[in-house]
Amino acid sequence: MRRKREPSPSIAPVLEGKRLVVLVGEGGVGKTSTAAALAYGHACTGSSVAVLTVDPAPRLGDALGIRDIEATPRAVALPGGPAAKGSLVAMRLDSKRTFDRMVERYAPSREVAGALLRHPIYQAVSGSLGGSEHYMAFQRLSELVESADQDLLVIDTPPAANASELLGAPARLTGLFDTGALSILAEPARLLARATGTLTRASLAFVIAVVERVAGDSLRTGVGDFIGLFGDILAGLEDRTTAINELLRSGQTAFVMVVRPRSNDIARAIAFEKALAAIGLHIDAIVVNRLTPPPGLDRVRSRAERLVEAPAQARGAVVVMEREMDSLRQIESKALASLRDAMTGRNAPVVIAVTSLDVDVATLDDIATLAGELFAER
Amino acid sequence: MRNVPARILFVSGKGGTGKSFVAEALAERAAARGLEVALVRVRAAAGSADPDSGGSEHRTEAARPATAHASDGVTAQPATFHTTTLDERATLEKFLTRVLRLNFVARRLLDSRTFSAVAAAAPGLRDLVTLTAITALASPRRRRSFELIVVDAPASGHSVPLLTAPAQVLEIAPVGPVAREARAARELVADTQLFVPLIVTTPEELAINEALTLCEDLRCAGVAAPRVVVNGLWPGHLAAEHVDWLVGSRASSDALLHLKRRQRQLELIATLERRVGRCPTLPFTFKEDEVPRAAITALLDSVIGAER
Repeated sequence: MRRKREPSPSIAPVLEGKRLVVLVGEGGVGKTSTAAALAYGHACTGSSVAVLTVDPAPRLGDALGIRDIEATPRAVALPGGPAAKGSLVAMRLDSKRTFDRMVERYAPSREVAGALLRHPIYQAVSGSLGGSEHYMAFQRLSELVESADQDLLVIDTPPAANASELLGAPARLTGLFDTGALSILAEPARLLARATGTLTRASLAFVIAVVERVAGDSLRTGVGDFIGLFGDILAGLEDRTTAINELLRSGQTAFVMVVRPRSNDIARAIAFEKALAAIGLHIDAIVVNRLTPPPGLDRVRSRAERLVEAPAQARGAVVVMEREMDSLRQIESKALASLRDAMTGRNAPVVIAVTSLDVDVATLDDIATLAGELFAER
Repeated sequence: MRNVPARILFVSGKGGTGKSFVAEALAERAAARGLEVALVRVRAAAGSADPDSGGSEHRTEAARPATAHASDGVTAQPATFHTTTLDERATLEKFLTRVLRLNFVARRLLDSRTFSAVAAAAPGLRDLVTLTAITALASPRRRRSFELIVVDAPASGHSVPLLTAPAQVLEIAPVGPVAREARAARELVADTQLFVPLIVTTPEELAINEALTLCEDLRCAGVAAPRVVVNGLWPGHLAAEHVDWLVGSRASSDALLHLKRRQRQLELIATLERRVGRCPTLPFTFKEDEVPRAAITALLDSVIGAER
C-alpha cells in the first residue's frame, strides 16, 4: 500500500546568498506558516533572520509572540537558547501605520504631515485603498533592507490572486497620485487655460464637468487640498518605488510560492508563475503545502487482520474512512504530478512537497517540524 | 409580469473558501426549482486604480449553455441560469450615462486616464457603481426580470468597501444625483427581505476569523445580517461509542487521521457558532468539482426559504 514518493529537494540552496525572500500565493494556503518555518529553519543554520508577516492566525501570532497589533520586532527563541548562533525576530505589518510613517518621513514639515494625516480623503484612502496593503508590505521591506540588521528578511505578502494585483501595487499607488490624473482635479482652471489641443481641452473640460456633477464643488476642493499636500511627498514615494522594483528583480531576492495540492489551485499557480516570469520576476521554489501524510505502516497488514477485534458497526466506518483518505491522496498526487510536469525547464522553480501536520501550525514546535520538512533532503 | 424586485444573495468569504463554487451551485439549484436566476460575478474593483485593469476583463451577457430545467435527480442536467461578469469600466460608463445623462461623444472621452481620475476623485464611487449595477439587475422593470440574483462577490477584504460604499459616498457628496443613487443602495443593502449576505468559510482558523471580522464589519456598516456557511466539513462515519475503540486500538492510522481532522473542524465550528449561532455546513466531497447537491438545496432553503 505504501507508495513510493518522488524525492523532494531541500529549500536550503534556494536561500543561499539571498537578502530577501518573498512568499507569494493565494489566501489560506499556509503562506504565513511557511514564511515562519523558512525563517526559523534558516536561523537555525546560524544566520540572523527577520520574518515580516501581514495577518497571522491568532495562535500562530502567539507562537511568534506577535499577536498584538504592535509592529515592533520580537525575538523568537531558537533551539540552544542564548547559545544559538543564529537569531530570529518576527514582526507584524500594519499597513495603515506604515502609510502614516511614510507620510511623516517624506512630508516637508510636521504641519504638512499633520494636515495630511487628518485629511478625510487620506483617512478614506489609506485604510482601504486597493493595493495599499501590498504596497506597504514592500515599503516596510525596503525600510528593513536599508537598516541591514539581518542577513535575511522573509516576507509573507498579503494574498494575491494574480501577478498584477501583487506587483502592480507600487506602480498603482504612485500612478493614482500621478500628477496626470489628479492635478486635473486640483487646479482645473489653470490646466484648462494651458491646454493647447482642442481634444485635450475638450477632455479636460469634460472631466471637470463630470467631477462637478458627481460630487459638487466640496469634493473638488477637498481633492485639491489633498493633492497639494500629497504632492510634497510624491517624489520620495517614487524614488522608493523604483528602489523596491530593482530589489525585487535583483539576484538578492528569492520568490517562493505556496500552493495547495488541488488541481485548480495548481493550474492557477502555473499561470501565476508564467505571469511573473513575463514581467521579469523569477519564482525560485514552489512549496506544495498540506499534503496528506502517506499511509501508515499499519496499512501493510490486511484489513481483516487489523479489524479482527473491531466492533461490528465500526468496521464499515473504518473501510469508508480509509477509502476517503486514499481518494484524497489520489487528488493530491495527481495535482502534484501536474505541477512537476509543468516545471521542467532549465530555470524552472524547484518543487518542494510538504506534508501537513494534524493540526494548524500553532506552536514553535509546529514551526520547527515544518522547517524540518522544508530543509530536509528527501 | 412580476412587480417585485429580485432578492439578492450576496456570497462572499475569504479567498480559497470555495465561495465562487458555492455561488454557482446555489444559482443552479435555485434555477432547478424554476426560479429566474442571474449569477453575477464581480471582480475586485477596489484594487484596480490602474487604467489597464478596467478593460482587460471581458464581459459576458449570456445564458449558460445548458439544457432545459432539471429536476432534483442525481443525473439531471444542470438547470439554466443567466450569468454576467461585471466589467468595471463598462459599468461606470453605463452609470454616468444613466445618472448624469452623458451623451455618446462624452462617453468616448472617458479614456483610461479620465477614467482613473473620475474613479480616484471619489473614494467609494467605483464600488457604488458596481453595487448599483447589481441592484439594477434586481429591478422588476427590466426587459428580462429575475427572481433571484446570486452575487459571486469579491473576497471579504474587497466586499466590505463594496457594501459600505453608499455610506462613504454620502459622506463625501451628500447632495446631487449620485447621492440619490447612494441613498437607494444604502437602503437596499440594509433590507433584510431583499438583501441576504452569505459568508462562506472553511472550517479552518484563519478563514473563520475572517468570516467573523466580516460579520462584524457588515453589522457596523448597517448591512442586513449575514449568514455564515461552513464549506468542507469532513463527514462523520464512526458512531460516538466507537471513537474510544479506534483511538485505543491502532487498528487504522488513516481512520484516526480522518477522525482527528473532523474533530478539529467541529471544535472550530463550535467557536464560530458561539458567536453567530447555528451555521449550515457543506460536506467535503473527496472528489474535485463534485457538487453536494442535497446540502446545497438545504442551504438554499435556509437562506432564501423553502420551495415556494
